[in-house]
Formats: sequence, C-alpha cells, structure tokens
Amino acid sequence: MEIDIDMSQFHDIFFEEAIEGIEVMEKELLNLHPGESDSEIVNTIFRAAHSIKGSASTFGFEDVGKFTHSIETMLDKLRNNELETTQELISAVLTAVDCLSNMLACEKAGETHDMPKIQSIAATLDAFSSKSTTHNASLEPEKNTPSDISDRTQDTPDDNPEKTWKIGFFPDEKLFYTGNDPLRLIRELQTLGKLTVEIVTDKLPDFDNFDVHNCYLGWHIQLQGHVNQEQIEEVFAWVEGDCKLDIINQSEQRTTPDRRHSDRATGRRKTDNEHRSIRVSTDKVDELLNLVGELVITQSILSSVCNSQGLETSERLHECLEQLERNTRDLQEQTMSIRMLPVDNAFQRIPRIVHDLSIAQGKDVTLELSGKSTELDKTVLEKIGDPLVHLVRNAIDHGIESPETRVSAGKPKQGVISIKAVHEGGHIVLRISDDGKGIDPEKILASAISKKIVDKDDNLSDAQIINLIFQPGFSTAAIVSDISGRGVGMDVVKQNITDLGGSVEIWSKKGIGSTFTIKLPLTLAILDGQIVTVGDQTFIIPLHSISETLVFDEAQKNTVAEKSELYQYRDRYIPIIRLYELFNIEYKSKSDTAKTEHDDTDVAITKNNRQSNLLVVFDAGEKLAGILVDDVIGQQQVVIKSLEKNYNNVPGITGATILGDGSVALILDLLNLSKQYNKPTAALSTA
Amino acid sequence: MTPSKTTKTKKKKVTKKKTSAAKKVAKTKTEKPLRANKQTLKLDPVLVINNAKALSEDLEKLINNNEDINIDASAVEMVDTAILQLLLTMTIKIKSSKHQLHWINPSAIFISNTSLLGMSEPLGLV
Repeated sequence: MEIDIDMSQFHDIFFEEAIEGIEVMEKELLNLHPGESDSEIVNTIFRAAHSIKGSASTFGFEDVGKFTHSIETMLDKLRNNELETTQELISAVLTAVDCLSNMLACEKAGETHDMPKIQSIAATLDAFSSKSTTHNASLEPEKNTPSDISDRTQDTPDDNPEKTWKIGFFPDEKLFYTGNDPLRLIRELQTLGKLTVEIVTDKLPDFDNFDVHNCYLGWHIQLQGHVNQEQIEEVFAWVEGDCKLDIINQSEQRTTPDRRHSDRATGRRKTDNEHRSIRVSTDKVDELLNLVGELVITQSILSSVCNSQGLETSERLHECLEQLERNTRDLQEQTMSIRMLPVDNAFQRIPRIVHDLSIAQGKDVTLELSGKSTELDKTVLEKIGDPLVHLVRNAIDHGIESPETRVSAGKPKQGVISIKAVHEGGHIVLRISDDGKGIDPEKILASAISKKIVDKDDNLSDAQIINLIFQPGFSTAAIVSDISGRGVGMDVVKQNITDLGGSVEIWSKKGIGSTFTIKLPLTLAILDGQIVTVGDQTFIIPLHSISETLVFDEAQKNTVAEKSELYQYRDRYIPIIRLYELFNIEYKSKSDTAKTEHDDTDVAITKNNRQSNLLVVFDAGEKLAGILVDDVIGQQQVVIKSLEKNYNNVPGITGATILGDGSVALILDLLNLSKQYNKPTAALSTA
Repeated sequence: MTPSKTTKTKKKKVTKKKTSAAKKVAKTKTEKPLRANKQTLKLDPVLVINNAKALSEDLEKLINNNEDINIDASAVEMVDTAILQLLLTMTIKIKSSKHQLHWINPSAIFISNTSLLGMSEPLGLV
C-alpha cells in the first residue's frame, strides 16, 4: 500500500488555512462596533473559528481545538443575541485570536503552549458565555458534533417553502490535505432538513492500492426542508475549489421544467469556478520565473547570433524570431503576474494596530484604506509590511492628538489616518497620511544638533530638517516610540524601502499633519537598467535611480583632503565614484586595442589618462552621487540573477544579468556605492 | 501511535459435557458460528486521519493472516471519513477473500457517523 506520505504535509496546509481563518476573524472583529449587532459579521467570524476547531481536532491539535471551542461557544451566544456586543467583548475575542495565533505558531515550531495564559483567556471567554441572557437548548452541540454553522437568520418556513434538493458532492482526491472532512459537511447539511445519503464508491481502489490520505468517495445526497440554495452553498463554502458540487432543486425540476437546465447550469458553472484556483508553493513559481528569465536571455542571444551571422535576411527566420520574442515577453509577463498579490495583504495588520493603539492611548482614530486591490510583487509586499506598520504606529503615537487637544485646535474629535496605494509610472506608490499635529522642524533641528548630526550654523530648509529623521542615530523619543517596542528608527524604515529599490519622501506641516510617500518597484525580478561601459566591463545602473547623465567637466571637480573627489553638481557637491579604481578594471587606450592581449606595453591606470568622460548622477535615498563611465550603450529591461547565490556577496554589486550577446553585466548596488563614498547630505551641502 | 490492539480470541473449548440447550442458544445467537481462529481488532476511542496509517498497517496484518476478522468498535468516540473509508476498503477486501467480518458492539457515534456517510450497508452494519 502507498502510505509513505509525511503527515507534515497535512499540517502545513492546516497551518496555512488556520492562519487565513485567524486573519478573517481579526478583520471582521474590527468591523464589529459596540452596541451594534451584525449577524453577517458574527457568522463570518464564527465560521472561521468553527473551521479551525474542526481541522485542529482532525489533525490532533487538541489544545488548539479546545481553545477554539471556547471562542466558538462565545460567538454562538453572540450570534443568537444572547450576548451584547461590547468593546470588552470585542477586545476579549481579539485577545483570544492573538492567543490562538500564538498557539498555532507553537504547534508549528513544536514548542509547548503557555497553558496558564491560555486557560486564563479561555476562562475570560467562558465568563462572557455564562453571562448570556437566554438559553436555546437546540443550539447545544452534541458530543463530537460541531455547532450548526448555518445562518441563524434563515428564512421562516412561510418565506421559504419546503423543497427537495439533490446534491452531488464529489471531493477532490486531496480533500483531506485541506483539513476538511466530508462527515462534518454532511452533518451540517443534516441540520437543514431531512437527509438521505447514498455513497459513491466507484473510485475506491482495492485495499492493496489504497492511499489512506486520499479521499476516493463521493455522495448523492437528497435534502428535504425549508432550505434555499444559498444555505446549502454556505455549508460547502469551506471546500470551494476542492470538490465537484452539483446542487439541483428537484421540486422546481418537477414543477418548472424550463428552469431545470438553468439550475443545473448554475451548479455547473460554480463547479467550474471552484477548480480555477490551486495552491502552488512560491518556490515553484520562483523556479518557473527563473526558467523564463533564462528563456528570455536565450531568445535575446539567438536574435543577436542571427543578426551577427547575417541570417536576418531570411524573411521566415525573421518572422519566427519576432514571434518568439513576442511569446517570450508574454510568457514573462504572465509568469511575473503569478507573483503579484493585492497590497491588501500588507494592509491586513494595520486595522488591528490602529484599534489597539488608539484604545491604549485614549485617542479616537479612524483608518481609511484605499487601492487595496493594487497588485505588488510578493517579495516586495512581504518586506513593506514592517515599514508600513512602523509609520502607522508613529502616526498614532506622535501624529494624532488626543480628542481634547484636537477639539481645542478646531479639528474634528476623530483623527484620520489614510493609506492609499496607486500605480504611478511603473511603480506602486503608498501614501500614509495623518491629520495630526505634524512634525515640528524646530524640535527635530534641536535634537539633530544635540546629537551632532548637523551643526547649529547649518542653514537648512524645513524640508531638509524634516528629512533628518531618516538619519541613522536620530532615534529620539520624538520619532521612535516605546509603543513599537522594537527601538527601530526611521533610518531603518528608509533602509528597508531603499533595499527594495524604492524611495520614501515626507511632507509635513505643523498643526496640519504628515504624509509619507513610499515609491516601490512593481517587482524585484526584472529591472529597467542603463547599460554603461567602463574599460572592458559592462555594468547596469538601475534606471529609476538615475537623475541625469552629463559630460564630465574637469573644472567642476574638487579634491578634498587630497583623496576624496567631489563634483559641483548645481548647488551642491556630490562624490565621484570611479569604477576603474573600485573594481580594479584595467585601462587600455584606444590605440592599445590593436595590440595583442599579452602585450606588456599596456598603459597603467592613472587618474590622468582614463577615458571616462560621462558622469551618471544618481539618487540613492536622498544621497546624490555620480559614477564616471566611458560610454552609455542604451537602456534595457534585464532579468536579475543573484550574485550572492551563485558566487559571493560583492560590495557595490547587487546582482548580474546576461546580455543579448551572451556577455555578463554586473548590476551596480547604488545604495552601497553611495554609502561608501557619501557623507551626510547636510555636510555635503556645505562642503 | 498504535490505534488498536490486535488479539486472538481464545479457542472455545467444546466439551462433551455441554448441554444441547446451550448449543441451541449458541446457534440462535450467531447464524454462522464463529470460527475458532477468528481475530479481533479493538478500535481506539479516537480514530482520525492521523491514525489512518497505523490502522491500515494493523488491518493489513490481519488480512494477511487469511482468517475471519472481528472488529470491536465499542470504544469509538470519534471517527472521521478517512478512517471509515479505510474500513470500507478493508471490508470489500475481506468479503472478496471469502472470509467473514463481524462488528462487535459498534458505539453510537460509530453507527451514527457511518449512517450519515451512507456507509452502514457497505460496511455490513445493517
């Protein structure tokens, strides 16, 4: 028998789905308001808890199952209006959801639970449950029987006449891997009406070929009762995409034959939709993306070879190459789109933070999120979460005033934090705004002077002063709060964003509020680059960071302390980066190119005879610098290959790519180069 | 984790002293008298997919013994579809090998769950 499957495969999916369930619970709990009863929201939270409980018990996570049962019991009372929605109750369930999340993390890591804490939280929930005002005996769950997950606000028999439904339920072979059990679903169906179940065993293999982890069974179910299609579909909502489901109203089949096909068609269409999504590991997607990258390179080389061999004159070959290029480009775009996720994923933690912090600080804050469906590469999305959270924490902690202060300042009592995500010119822009007190430039300047980040004689504009909060070492109480509990400064926020190839800007006005604008690349896998040459080497400079390319004017050059070279660029001095020296590139004059490679008359590199005469000015996180290059070849979208993974980490180089002629070009790490050559902006301005 | 305990039932000693009335009672209680070498598998109270692999190994050993099988489901408090599906394929295997499968005192939960899944008849519980 084939029974060698590792049980951890089940666990991974269980954990993944349980975490999704927790996210649903948290999100919906934050939509609950004290004194209001929203059965739809409570039902959604209940269903998520119910599913986690069932799956946890199935996979032997008994503590998780028991704890979730306490949450479920309380929610059951809430949806039956036996409990009132209060802020205390919402906070208690949110605390329980956090605890559940920790329990899952412990189970995943194989660690023991903090049982005293768990028991204390469960006791709080039980205390709420025992406060219920009425008792509905019909809702008591049977032993080994989950509570009814159907909507309690279902139609009355008068509104919903008795119908006979024929349900074809055929789970996918891998259904058990999702933590779902057909038994639970059929049991829930039973609560809706009279059930007749017929098992289908056509696909059941014989014992010798049986895999215990697969589901081979199917069911024909007849359900009779005051039930509508939505209620049946709701029962099967948890296996959507993991089964073939046909729901046919037999009553209508008999009375209105014209609609029979329509009902069947509806069921069919739903079934088709259910199979339109699959779970695929990101490793597989990344590998696919990598292979497509290789394909793009090969296609580029092929075109180059054909051109160099004079084969482009063949019309047929030319057409085929063009077609290949189009197909490759489409394939690349489609593959890239697989990794794209809605930015909403990064927003999910924000409502809870706003909720908790505003309560903790006695502030009245509303959160406005827009552009949630804007898509961003998964890696970028994962890495932007922490900076986003930090900015929102700071906005509540230091931006939004207390209700009393706001009212006395003529502002509405309730402060607003808004986060907007938009597409702008091939980038994603996130704007985090608050209508709080804004950043006080005088306070920032005083702090910067005391920390010797700037000199008191420096003449800085308000914008320059505000930007000082991004300087390393500027972690003052004015910027970093104990609330964050991590001591992370704004310099780290900026560093994380710049590491992603993005940038961050601040606008702030005292008394009005602040806006942080984060600009991010859509993806990290490809890059729009400027191809430049230095000696016999080709480099790629990320296009989005280039401010300008200009002819190098020796007269504009200044030397500081006989070693650092600065270039007067408009109203400031910027460091000059010489790649010849940095990467030990051999210089050969044009006349030398006719000589043999072993000719020992090669001209040694000196500062006076190098031929670089173009300066590429770039901006790496508010720090300008210029790279001297010999020539600018052109612009090209390149596939980034990790140098670190294939070779070693090389300072100043972020990766490599293969060009159309098959040669390797190194991609410059502008931030790193800038750090090597730069000094604080303020110091440069006054150099 | 071993979900079940496999034991062999003690061979019944049929003595000449046994009364004819006792024989009569025995015949009325079981239409087909149990074979002396029948094996019994006692199912654990909690049987979920986690236990399926271990249970299937126990069942495989029993089937390979080429004897009739008793399954004691009296202690079962929780059983899921994966386990019942395994028991179903085992039932079919035993039936095809011309041996007998007997259920001993299946618990209420066991009967209820098999009935809900439409398995009572295929499993030979009714």
